[in-house]
Order: sequence, then C-alpha cells, then structure tokens
Amino acid sequence: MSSLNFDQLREELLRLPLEAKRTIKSALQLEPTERQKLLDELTEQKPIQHPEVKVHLGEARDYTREMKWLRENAHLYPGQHLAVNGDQLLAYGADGGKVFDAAKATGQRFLMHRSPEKGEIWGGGGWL
Amino acid sequence: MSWNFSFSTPIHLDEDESGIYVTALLSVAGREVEINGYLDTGAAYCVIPRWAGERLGLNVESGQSITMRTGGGPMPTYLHYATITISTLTFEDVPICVAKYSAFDRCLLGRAGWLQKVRMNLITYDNVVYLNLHDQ
Repeated sequence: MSSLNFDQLREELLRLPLEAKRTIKSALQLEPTERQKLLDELTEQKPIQHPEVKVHLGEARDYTREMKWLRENAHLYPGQHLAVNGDQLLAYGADGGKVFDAAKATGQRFLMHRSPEKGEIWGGGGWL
Repeated sequence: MSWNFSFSTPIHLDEDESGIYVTALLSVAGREVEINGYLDTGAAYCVIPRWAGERLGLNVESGQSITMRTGGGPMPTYLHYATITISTLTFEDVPICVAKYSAFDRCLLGRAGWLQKVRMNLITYDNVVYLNLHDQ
C-alpha cells in the first residue's frame, strides 16, 4: 500500500509529465481485476549494486577560452543550449541534441552548456 | 584546533542562476560529450539529459529504471555507467542516471561514483574547487 494519503498522491500526480499522467489515467480506468494484475506486477525499486569505480590521473583538457566566452556571453542566450569551441559559438538552440549534432558536424571539439532561463531559480534535486 | 589539507587539482568553476558548474568530459566506448555540469552534493547520482545519453551511444531505456525524488516531484531515469573526467581525474564506471524525459535538460554532478573518491575544497569566493584523491 502507498504510504501517501489522497492529497499527497494528488499533488505528486499533478506534477508528473503529461505522458506519465496519461498512462496513470489509463491504468486507473482499467477493470478492477486488470488493475490488481497491474499492481501485482509493479515491484518496488530493486536494490542497486554498482561496480567499483576506478580512478586514474591524466592530462586535463583546457577549457579556459570556452569558460571565458560563456562567462561573458551565455546570458545573451537564456534557456538555450550552446556549443562552444574556444571563443566561437558553433551552434545554439532549445534542443540540446540538435545543437550537439550541428556542432559535431563542424568536425571541431566543443563544450556543451545550457544557459538558464531569465529569472530561473533551480531548486536542485535528485534524491532516491 | 585546525586541520591542514593539501590539494593537487585546482578547477575553475563558474556560477549562474542554476548553480555552480564545472566542465566534465563524459565518455562511453569512445563516444564523448564535453559538458558543463552543476555540482550537486545533494543529488544521489549524476544525472544527464536524455539527448546526452543518446549521443554517448546509450540505449537509454535499456538501463535499470530508477525514479528519483526531487523538489519538483518524481523524476524517472535509467541507470547506466560512464567514464567521467573532471580536470586531471578520470573516474571509470560511474553510475549515471539518464533522464527519461527531455524536459530535464541539465547535467548534475551528484555523489555516486566520484564524490566518495575525492576530497573537495570548494571556495566559491575565488571561483575554484580543489580536488584530491581521498587516499593521497
């Protein structure tokens, strides 16, 4: 059984992405026997076993020019993904994947950066 | 009482509305993504956007499904492993979570896999973070 009450569940459900909401809505509309079958199949998150992380020392890549350019210019591209090589902006746009692909097509190495939206305040996150 | 530590790796950091970021090189089987990632010691895992996972050649949804809790509600991700290089330090087999939905579009450098391996001295006033392997 869920440890959340109705109001807590409602609040969490309303925050979900549209696709997830659609899936849950469909699941809630199933016949009771099918709904129970689905519930039986939903298992708790499995414990995670990680391999040992190996560490080694090497040469650092130099991003001084890219970071300088970003410090001076990133704010001009709010909410955009930027691909920067040295002091040159290779590509930018709202879709990180497309920006990456466009920059890759130039054959140059580049650093990806996402510039925050104006007024955006990130609350952090990523708990288990 | 005071303690003295020494650090071998200074890394320049920058800051914007989303946090403090450093440059990380992510790689999987020869494919690379160089990306600015936000230091997030409150995050259990490193998290990368789906597009980055795909450009690393990962079959994103083949990873173990992990739902992370965040301030904005649950976030579905898939667990994979990658090599992360931060300055001179390379960490192999770091667990990273790839966001299921493209709405998550930033790179977080969370704890698992690399933060336990280092000592870190963060001085935001000077825009620098110093790292050292924890056993050196």
